[in-house]
Amino acid sequence: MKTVYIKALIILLGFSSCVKLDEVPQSFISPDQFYKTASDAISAVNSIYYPMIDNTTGAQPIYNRLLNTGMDYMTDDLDAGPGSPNAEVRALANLTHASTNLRVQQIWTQHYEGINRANVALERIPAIEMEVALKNRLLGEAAFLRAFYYFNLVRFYGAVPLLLTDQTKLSVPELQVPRTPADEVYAQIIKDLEASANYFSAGSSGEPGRATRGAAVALLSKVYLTRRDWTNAIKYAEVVINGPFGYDLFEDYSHVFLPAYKNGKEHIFSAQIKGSSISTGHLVTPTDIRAGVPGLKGSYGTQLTTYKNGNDNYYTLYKAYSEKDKRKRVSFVTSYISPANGQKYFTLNAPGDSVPYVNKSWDPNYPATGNSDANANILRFSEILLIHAEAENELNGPTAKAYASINRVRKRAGIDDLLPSLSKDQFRDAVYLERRLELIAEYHRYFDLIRETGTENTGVGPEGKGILLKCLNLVGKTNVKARHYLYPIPQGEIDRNPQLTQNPGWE
Amino acid sequence: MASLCPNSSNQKIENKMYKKINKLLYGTITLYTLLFLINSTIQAQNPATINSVLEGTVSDEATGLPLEGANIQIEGVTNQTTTNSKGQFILRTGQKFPYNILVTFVGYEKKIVLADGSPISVTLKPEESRLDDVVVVGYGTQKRKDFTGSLASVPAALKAQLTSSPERLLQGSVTGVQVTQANGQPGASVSIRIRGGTSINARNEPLYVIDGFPVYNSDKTVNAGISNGTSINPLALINPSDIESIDVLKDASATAIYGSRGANGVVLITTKNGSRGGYQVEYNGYYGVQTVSKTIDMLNARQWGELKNDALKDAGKSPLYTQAQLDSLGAGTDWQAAVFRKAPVQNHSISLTAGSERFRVLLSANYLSQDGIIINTGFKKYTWRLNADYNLSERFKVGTNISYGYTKATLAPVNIVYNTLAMVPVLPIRGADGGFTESSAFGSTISNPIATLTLQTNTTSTGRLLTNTYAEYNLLKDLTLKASFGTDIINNKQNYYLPSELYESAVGGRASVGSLSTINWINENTLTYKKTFRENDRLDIVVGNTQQKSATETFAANASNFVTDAYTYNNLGAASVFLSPASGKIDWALKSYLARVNYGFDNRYLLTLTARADGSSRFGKNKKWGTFPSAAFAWNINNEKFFENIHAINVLKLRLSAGTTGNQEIEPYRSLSRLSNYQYSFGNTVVNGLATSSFANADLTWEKTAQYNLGIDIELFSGRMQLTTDLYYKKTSDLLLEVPVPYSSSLVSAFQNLGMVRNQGLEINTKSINIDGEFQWSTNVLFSLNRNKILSLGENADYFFITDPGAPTLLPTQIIKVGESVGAFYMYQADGVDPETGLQKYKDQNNDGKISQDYDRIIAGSSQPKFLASLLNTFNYKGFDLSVFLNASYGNKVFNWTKANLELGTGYTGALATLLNRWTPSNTITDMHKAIENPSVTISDRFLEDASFLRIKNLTLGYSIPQAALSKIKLKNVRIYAQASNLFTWTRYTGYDPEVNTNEQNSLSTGIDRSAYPNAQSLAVGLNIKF
Repeated sequence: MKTVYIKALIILLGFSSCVKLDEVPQSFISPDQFYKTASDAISAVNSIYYPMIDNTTGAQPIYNRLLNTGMDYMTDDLDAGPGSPNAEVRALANLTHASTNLRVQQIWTQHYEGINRANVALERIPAIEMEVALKNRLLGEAAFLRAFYYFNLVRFYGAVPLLLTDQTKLSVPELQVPRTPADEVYAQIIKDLEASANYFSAGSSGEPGRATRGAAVALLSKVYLTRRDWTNAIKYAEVVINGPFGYDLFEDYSHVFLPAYKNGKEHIFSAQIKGSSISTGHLVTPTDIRAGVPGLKGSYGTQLTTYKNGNDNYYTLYKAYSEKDKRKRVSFVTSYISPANGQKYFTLNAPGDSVPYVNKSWDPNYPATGNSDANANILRFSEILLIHAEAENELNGPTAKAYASINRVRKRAGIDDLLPSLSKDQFRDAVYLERRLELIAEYHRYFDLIRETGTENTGVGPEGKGILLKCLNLVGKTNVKARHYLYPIPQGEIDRNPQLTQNPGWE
Repeated sequence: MASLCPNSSNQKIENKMYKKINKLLYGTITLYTLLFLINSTIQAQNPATINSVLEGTVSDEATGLPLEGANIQIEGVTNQTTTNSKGQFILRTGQKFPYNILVTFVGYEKKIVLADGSPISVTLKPEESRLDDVVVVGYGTQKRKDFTGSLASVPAALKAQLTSSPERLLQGSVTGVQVTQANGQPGASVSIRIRGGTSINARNEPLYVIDGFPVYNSDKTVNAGISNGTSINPLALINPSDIESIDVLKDASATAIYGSRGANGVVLITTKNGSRGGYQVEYNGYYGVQTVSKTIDMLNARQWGELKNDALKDAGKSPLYTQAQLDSLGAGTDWQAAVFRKAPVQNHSISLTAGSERFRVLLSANYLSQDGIIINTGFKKYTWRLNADYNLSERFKVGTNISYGYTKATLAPVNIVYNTLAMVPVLPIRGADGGFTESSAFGSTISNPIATLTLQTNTTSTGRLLTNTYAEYNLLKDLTLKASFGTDIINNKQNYYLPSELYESAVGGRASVGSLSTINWINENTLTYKKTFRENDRLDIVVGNTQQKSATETFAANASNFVTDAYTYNNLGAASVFLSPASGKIDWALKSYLARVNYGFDNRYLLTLTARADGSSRFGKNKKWGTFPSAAFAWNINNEKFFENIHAINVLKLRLSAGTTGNQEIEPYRSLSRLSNYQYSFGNTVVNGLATSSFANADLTWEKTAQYNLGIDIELFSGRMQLTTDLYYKKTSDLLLEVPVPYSSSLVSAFQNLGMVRNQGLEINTKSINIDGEFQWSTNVLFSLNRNKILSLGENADYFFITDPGAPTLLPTQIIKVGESVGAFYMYQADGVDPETGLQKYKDQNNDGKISQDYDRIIAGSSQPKFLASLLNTFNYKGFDLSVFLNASYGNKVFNWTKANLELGTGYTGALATLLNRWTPSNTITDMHKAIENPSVTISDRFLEDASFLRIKNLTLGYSIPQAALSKIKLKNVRIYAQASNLFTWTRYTGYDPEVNTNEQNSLSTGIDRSAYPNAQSLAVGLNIKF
């Protein structure tokens, strides 16, 4: 009798299991299987660029609309248009946003995504056996990108955690680190950029659109300008201007923005955007287009800030361009021809329609869709000329060198040379205005507003610096306060990392 | 007794049939016949004798099938007989007519019938949920009175509701179960919580066991991810008319046998099989019409024109319309009237059941065609089923359940209802040239929903083959070995095409196709030992092992810019722009060992001990295995000696259980660090990047739920009143939690076992037969209450915000916070409209003089109801049956995004009629703010609405044609019925329907109404024929 039970149990357990519980993923790989070959190294570096133009969570990517809604709308140039009903965006545009604002958090998050990928590349690539010139190039790109992301972060938030190793291998408590003073962050940025330039010197060259030695040098110049180290700013700007890179202005200002000319001689570093084939094209494009034109897919999310100026109730920056300034017709459109019916819509100065629309990411290859392959410019040659003019003026006054650089930009725009014999302050104001006209909607204005030293004409900010308060008050953004010189540390990040402190005025 | 004489010849003919059918019974029947003939002769010869012979049949009242082995006994004496395989009996007795006979049969209600002559026809009613019932439990069946855990079954009257999928039948019909329909898209998925959600980041749906095959009902299992719209319900592939019973296991003792998958409850679905003896064909069909239960009041064209002018004026701009233009606008277009329609639904099921001594079979087919109440949407379903078992010998039995279902849904895109409401009423549907108005563009661009619905191709179709085959062998009299092998094969295909004419399309049109295929198999082997000692002591032991494996492959491709719209999605190669194709593979496996011991002592004390050990591939390599034990004790107090004299109480049973169950429902591979693909381009050339997208956690393991249950079952007055009540406490620890990590790590969260959630609640279920007899009235009342609370989220955080998957770029409306329930809403508190400015005011919670996100948002309610209740009344009179089913939910909130978007008063979109009462310089005392182009803060509790409701969920009136009339036309049963569902709803919710959940089965973001496809109300007439 008992043997039957035993036999039965043996039969039962004897159904030998062919099921294994080990997980062997087949549609992805894990990090320990990776970072072994040259192509692994290239992929690791490619992923560092990604947060500039795309995002897996559905959030807006940094150079693909996030800095548009999360930064440019906050300035005196641009505003949230009718197609931006999102309260989070409108709060930023009105400067009523809080430390919990999603854009504030997304800017933080996405920059650190890029930073950690750069950390991984800089940590892993040296150990990979591969061609040295390629290795150097890749390390140069990674070091440049880390510096580039930190440069944005330190300007937005001030002191930030300076993380230089792969965070995804750490435990949760190890991830909670305090903020590093801004000076140390800048020191690391400069160190990374110098290292990057050195790597590139011994590196091979990659596809157009990747970071290059020229980009590292140009960014160094800009970092030094921000640090008010005029000597170094001039030094590196001159390497870019006179150096071996072959940078020059396009003759035609419109080529700066047209996809057909992407990665041309004026483009030092751009966020590379391609419509259709990857999940996203240039997301700013449809938001720049006025809604309601048959056949055009405009959402009118972005508009120029309108304000009362003298007797003009609808003054915009558009009116600051002289009529012969070629940039006026390139940077803006005032009416649309419907691809569906050929009719013209929204002429300027029609009642209620007196706002022109930004036109810097329009792609003529997609006339009806609002899709676009246009890159987002990050560093371009004309800005380096203006950096050079500004730094030279600050260090030596409005010298011939300073005039030469700014006039080179003005000449291409089709406008007259700057009046000679300006004072240092007048020259500075002229450079800032030129930056605004040349670079509108290219994500520079907020940084300029918090950077500029006040003059008699522009007024002074807190602690004797800056024009942020005056300029925003001028356009009716009266909620602006001294605290807006820095973004708040995202409250969500403070919750996750109790080591962090809040910025002044945001507590 | 002369009337008996003509029967004698018939009897002889039938005797010949008996020989053919059943040789075993031959002798007995012949003997009876002989006795009967002799008896007749005697009677004829001697009329003074007081003997009587009663001849008759016993059949099932519901199915009309003959019952073999029913017992017929004259009341008060020992004379008795049993029915043969045709349900016939002959009873010889010394008693004289009239007398009472008692007819009994296992599983049926006993019946006392007055016999006043022969022949007699007796029908027995199957016992419904009585404590004597046999109930299906995991890996076996048990008598309900011996069951120690908490189990509830769907009552028969509610099983007959007309529905497209079986789990919808659980709504309101079982205590402790909350059923939420995502929306009214025909075939849409359903989300179910049994005793509250145990988890935060893992899934909270119960485990379904369909004829022994465990199926986790994730709507992702049939979604290739291409079509645009709500997910389709995977269980729609089961034909509700095939279902014999739906039982819900709730406490740890009942669910622990499913171990790692038991924490959210188990729903056991058992399908029908043939009866032994005879055959039956059944047809069940209905035709109905569905309509939208309400429409939303919107501003008409003229009213909207005024709003637009006001908003422009407020912004200092010139008005769009002159007074003359306004006057000519009129009512404009009613977009809702154009989108909603009366939609027919029809369903036809036919089944054949047959059986003999050794063989039983069911064959069925079902066709359902349900049009949606939104134009050009709908759902079609075809199912087939074969259930069979065969006794090869006394000891060896084999059986199988095979079902195949095919569904095809034409979907409404997710934003279609919002677009319908947001279209500005001044626009026509079609322009003067007959073409569609492309879009509404008065600030915000909205594509024309009629154009979308008319021109799109947007389908998802799924075939699912579910099989389970077993062999059972009695090794010894008490010892049975059973082995089963089952497969679940799913193929989903989705097609999507937007012709170029549509605003949301691309140049030259946009086409996508996607497919998903899954092969899932399971093998289960059990050994059951059942023994009865000393008459009333029962021992029942089950041990077994199971193994299950699933492999899913997906594929998707997208292309745009075709020369013609003619190809739709059928020729992707003809496009000129190709988007990256995608493919993937996901495997998982589960291995388990299980054991259960039931011991019943003297029908008084019942003990159940259960344990299951599960190994799951989904967990970290260090902690794949978990063990889930439970114990339960029940006391049948009514069987105690001291209870003998209490006749009013038939059953008094106390149940106690405690145990641990688990939850493994996370995506596979979550314990591994993963490199994800991140594409970039250089000069328009796409390159691939790889970077880490998740932390590794080799210790990731089960989420464990400890549950304690106290239950009481009471039956009074011979079962006329029944009460079942359960009190439970569930604590889930080691939550599978996406622990928020600093964003500076480059990742958002680390998956860890951390935190605790508690659910506690009360369930009361009463049934009563208020009036018995020719007119019968019975009532079921169900009440469930659950309180969900987050006890801990680990050391790092005590709250985090939930990203609404439908709106990742908007400020979250919900929060996960210690001390609150999952589904807590977090937002500003609206504080009226400022009579001075006409602006919406918000409450300054910290009194710092300004409204800020950081300090002025509060917990404003929860999506979880305070209680659920339902009431079922059934009436029977002669052939008529009437059932009225009401169900209610109380205290749950829904965030009405539709209102939040359409009450802005910007003049950019269509607007709600509530804006008629907006602030104007002449109407300053109002709760509706002014028309304004730039309202800054908008997400407030103004749009968080009480979604409590009471509704007449179902009302059915049926009539069964009397048996006498049917026998002439050789039919067993004909019932005609009319059924109304969602007939009326009482609610303060201002959206279409308070039963809504745009985020479907998402565990975190619940109670969101982002313009969901509204639920329909329907009227149907049906016919049920058996022959």
